[in-house]
Amino acid sequence: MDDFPDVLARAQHGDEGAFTVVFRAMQPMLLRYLTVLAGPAAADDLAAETWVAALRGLVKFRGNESDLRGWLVTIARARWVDMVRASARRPEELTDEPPEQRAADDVAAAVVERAASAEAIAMIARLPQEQAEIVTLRVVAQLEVAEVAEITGKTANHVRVLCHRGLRRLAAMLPAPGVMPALVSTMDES
Amino acid sequence: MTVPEQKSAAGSLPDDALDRLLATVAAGDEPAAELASLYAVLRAASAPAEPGAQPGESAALAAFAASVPVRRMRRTPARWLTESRTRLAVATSAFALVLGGGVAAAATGSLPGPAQGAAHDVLGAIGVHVPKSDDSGASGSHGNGTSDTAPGHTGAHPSPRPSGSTGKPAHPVHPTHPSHPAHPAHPTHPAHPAATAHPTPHATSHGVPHRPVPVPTLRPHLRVR
Repeated sequence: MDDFPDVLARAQHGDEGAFTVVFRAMQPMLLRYLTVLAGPAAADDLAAETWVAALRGLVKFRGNESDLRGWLVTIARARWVDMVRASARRPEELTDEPPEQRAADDVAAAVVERAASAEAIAMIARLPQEQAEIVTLRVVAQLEVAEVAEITGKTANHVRVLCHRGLRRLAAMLPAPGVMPALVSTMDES
Repeated sequence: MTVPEQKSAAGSLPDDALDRLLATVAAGDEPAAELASLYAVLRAASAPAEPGAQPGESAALAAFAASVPVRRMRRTPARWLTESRTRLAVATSAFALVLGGGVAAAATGSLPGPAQGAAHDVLGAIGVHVPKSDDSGASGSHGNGTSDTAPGHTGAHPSPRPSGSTGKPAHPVHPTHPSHPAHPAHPTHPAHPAATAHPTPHATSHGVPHRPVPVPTLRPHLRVR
């Protein structure tokens, strides 16, 4: 967003149109992150709670677009933690079975055929919880290692390790490289 | 596709290659051939959403609208001062209007009896003459709207009354504005100094007022002495 400072300032002063621009720039990232954390069913509610909480502090927010992504992710993560605690379930139980057993060819094929972000997010969500979250924050939220470390409460080195493990595991789910050119070309068009 | 072989190949991906892949995904550059599959997935995961309204947008906008009044209360000092000045100006204007109207009513003797008497006392102390409540009563025309002791009423009529003002030649047509005969449409300017030019001809020319003279009944010991 080229004019992010101006748009944010107008949104902070009550400009609904400016806030809409901010929302549309952030909401897809937020929903994908929360989908990886909590699943698609809970992502919408958590995102709504995130925005309600964010609006309370929007006036005081200072930072660039990346800072805003990190700020929203921090709020979203807190809402997710609250939800997990409220449901008295361990976060690991929110995920599916280990990715080695769930990496079915049909999922990868869906990615190839439809090139939809939802399928890609679904694949990432099959990673172990920590790896899935960190890959999402690095790739979808486009946050740096230091920012991810601060949000997740881990060291930067730990974040790097988990990210590498997640990427390797994700690559292991995919078809052979020769199958992917169709997807690559689709992505180039988009 | 043989998944075990792919797993083996993925397991050998070096860290620096993966770091470069992340940078490539962020920049949208061409990936290394062996990482094309992973690149495609990561690009799909971070692809822009469809333009237009996003899921949950209406709820977020409603929350935003609900939060706007709260934010507008947090004004800057300059804005608060500006708005305070505006409010002060409006309040002052309203006060002046009410005061002016009250004085005008007092000058025309239109106020109720006690209020008219109080206005006479207060305004008389600052040199502004208004008739006492007894003035209109002394004319013997209570409630008929033809009191000739109400100077404003006299001047407000576009045509002079045939008989009501004959006994008061000192106030021919416009008694409260003798120096401004060219403005008959404003017969009783309340704040005009001309109101003070009249001594008190009405108040002194009338007889016993309607209200009895207060008897010091609250202090009977004074009478005993």
